[in-house]
Amino acid sequence: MGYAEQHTVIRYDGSFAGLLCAAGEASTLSLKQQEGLYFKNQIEEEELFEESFFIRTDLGHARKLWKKVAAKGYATSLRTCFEAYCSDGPNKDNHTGRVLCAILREADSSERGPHGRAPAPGNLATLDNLNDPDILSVATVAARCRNQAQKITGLIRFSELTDGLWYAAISPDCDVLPLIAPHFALRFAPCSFMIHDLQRSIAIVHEPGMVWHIIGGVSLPNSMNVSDLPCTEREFLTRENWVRYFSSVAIEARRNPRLQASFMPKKYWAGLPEMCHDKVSDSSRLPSKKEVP
Amino acid sequence: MRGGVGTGAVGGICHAWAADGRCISLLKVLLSNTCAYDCAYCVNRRSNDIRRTAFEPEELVRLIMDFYRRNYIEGAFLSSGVIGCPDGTMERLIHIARTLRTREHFNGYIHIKIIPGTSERLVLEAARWADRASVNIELPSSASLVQIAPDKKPEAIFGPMRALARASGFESRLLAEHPQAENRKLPDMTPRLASGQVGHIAGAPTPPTEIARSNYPNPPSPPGRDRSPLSLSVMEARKKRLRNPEADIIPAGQTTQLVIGASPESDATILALAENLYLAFDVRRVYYSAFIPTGNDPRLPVVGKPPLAREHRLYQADWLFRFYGFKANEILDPAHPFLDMSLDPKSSWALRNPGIFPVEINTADYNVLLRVPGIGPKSASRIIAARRCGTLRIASLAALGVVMRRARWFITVSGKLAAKEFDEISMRGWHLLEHPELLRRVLLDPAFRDEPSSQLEFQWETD
Repeated sequence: MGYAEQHTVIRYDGSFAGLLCAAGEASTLSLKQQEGLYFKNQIEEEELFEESFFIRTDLGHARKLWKKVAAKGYATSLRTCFEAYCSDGPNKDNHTGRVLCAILREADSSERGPHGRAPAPGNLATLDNLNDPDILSVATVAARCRNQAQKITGLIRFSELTDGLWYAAISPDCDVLPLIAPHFALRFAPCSFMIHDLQRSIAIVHEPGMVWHIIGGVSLPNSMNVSDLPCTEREFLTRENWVRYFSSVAIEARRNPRLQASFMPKKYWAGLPEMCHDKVSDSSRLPSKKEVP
Repeated sequence: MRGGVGTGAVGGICHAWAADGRCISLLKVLLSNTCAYDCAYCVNRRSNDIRRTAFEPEELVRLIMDFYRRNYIEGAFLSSGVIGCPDGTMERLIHIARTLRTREHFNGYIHIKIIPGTSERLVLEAARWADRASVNIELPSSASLVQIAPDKKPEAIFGPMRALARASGFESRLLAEHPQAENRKLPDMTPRLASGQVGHIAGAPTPPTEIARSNYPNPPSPPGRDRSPLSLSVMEARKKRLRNPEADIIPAGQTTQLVIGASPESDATILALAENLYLAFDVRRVYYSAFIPTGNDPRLPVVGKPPLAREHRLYQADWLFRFYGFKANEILDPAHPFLDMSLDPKSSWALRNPGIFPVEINTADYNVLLRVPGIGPKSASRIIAARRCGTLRIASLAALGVVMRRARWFITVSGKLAAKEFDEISMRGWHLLEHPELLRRVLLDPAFRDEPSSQLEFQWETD
């Protein structure tokens, strides 16, 4: 994307820890040098005459930075940056990196403030200034990501597979898995479940009594659809019951499909048995032919 | 409960939206549609000839667990028709809630409906297992209750309501101090309250059993900011209330519901009643349901369409109670007993009280900002936060979430009126605040612009 020629590009490995390390490095530069910085994921292609540095990711250092800054009252700001990082916003790497850099700078200066001023108590101290284009962009895409995660939290549908795993497939625009994982790990603590992001081929994996993990390279075997996964018979019966409940709970006198679609956009319908229930009633006949263990 | 399935989520999570656009977060089923009562508005009334059916408790428990594990629902809403007697029905509902909690280790959300007339012991038992409990007040006055729901007595509704309020640690202290408290229908409350218990604060301008009257219950109070505790708004009263989301007994409090449009009460009566419920019983929400005809019962008015617009305006007024610091007698008064269907209640209020406007954005208090149409709690607090950084300009207000279409007629920014011109009408550039009729036209929702405004009100009532 277009950035001024004099920009110095900082590249990182694409992880949030990497971005935090890069921002940490950048915050030690002079204010004027920071002005001209541009953050980029290393997988993005290089432009002609680009002067770039690669910052190595140090997980320990990133963790330390996060803790230090969060302890100074910037926890919510950091969280917002993380949400922006998970989003699908244009140029999110650059905007998030620059805002992180500003947060780190402010956190540092509040430590050795000129008049021994106490650190800013506000959580969003840095992110209040929506006049700054970076902050505005970060706040906007973070809100988008947060809202999508919230919506998906409700719209995930688990299926009980024959091997006892509870499986759910989603294909969100933003990378919401790290945002929703704690919620589901808490709610379904005694279950082993997997939430699969089909687009990114990553999945949350949780086993009872263990912490959750996000693992990469998860994809269904070739020529296999989500609907082909072997489900228990009870799964189909429950789905049918749910579809019946769903259709009968709507009050005919208040019918308003546009309102429904505005809350539940069509892009989510594929994963919802109640919104594609023709398929369910078809597939519900399948297991009677098969043997169910 | 350790090792169990499920969590509560503050604010709840919507899991689906039905074809009517309403959010589905709970499995909301009747244990049985058999009912011993004969409420005219209800499809399951005794006199209605429909097929009757019921769940086995075990069936319902399994269904709830199956749905919950698949993330279809946030929890269960347990309710039932009255099977035999209220206590018997309540026992069945409690059995299901208890099974879910103890045997299935279910930690999800349970809302339990209290059947009117249930004994206090069972009300408390139900509250033990539920996150939220509710008793439906059904109709806005006891006269209507006698006529339309003859089996439900006001005492049978307010008794459980009071028990729930007390169970969650709430005592309406001011009820006892109020002289009108003598006239209440529930006299057993007074001696306990008078013994100086440290209850949570609530202002109750009128006693809670105001349901007995069908005319406007609140005498109009003098204008101006009266600071005596009896005139606390719902928002102020709630601010002082401590709530514990981790509480053992109904952490999400109690709610209630009433039918709109099945009886002749005015909006003023309904809002005054709702305000009393908020103040006197610490009800978390009052739900208003537009009456939808379910057969031709002679006790009910004949309506074409359900009064959905009226329901919407009542909800808007309800929000004004809880988040804007309005009082019922500010929203409506005897001269205006019904909400304006073509204008939101806050704009109507502003038009009737042009005196406090224009409000200066750069100096006004939070509570004054909240009174401006087009400014809500969120934008008001953003304005306060942004003022610390510097003086606000008109151009930056929209970015803070202020709806300038409405707000600009009511505000000044650094002493300048935000909207002066209305060129189509006048060349002189006077301010519309001096011309409420014109201002009203400007504020109308676009859908109502071309209509002769006053004719749209109460059309379902004249049918």
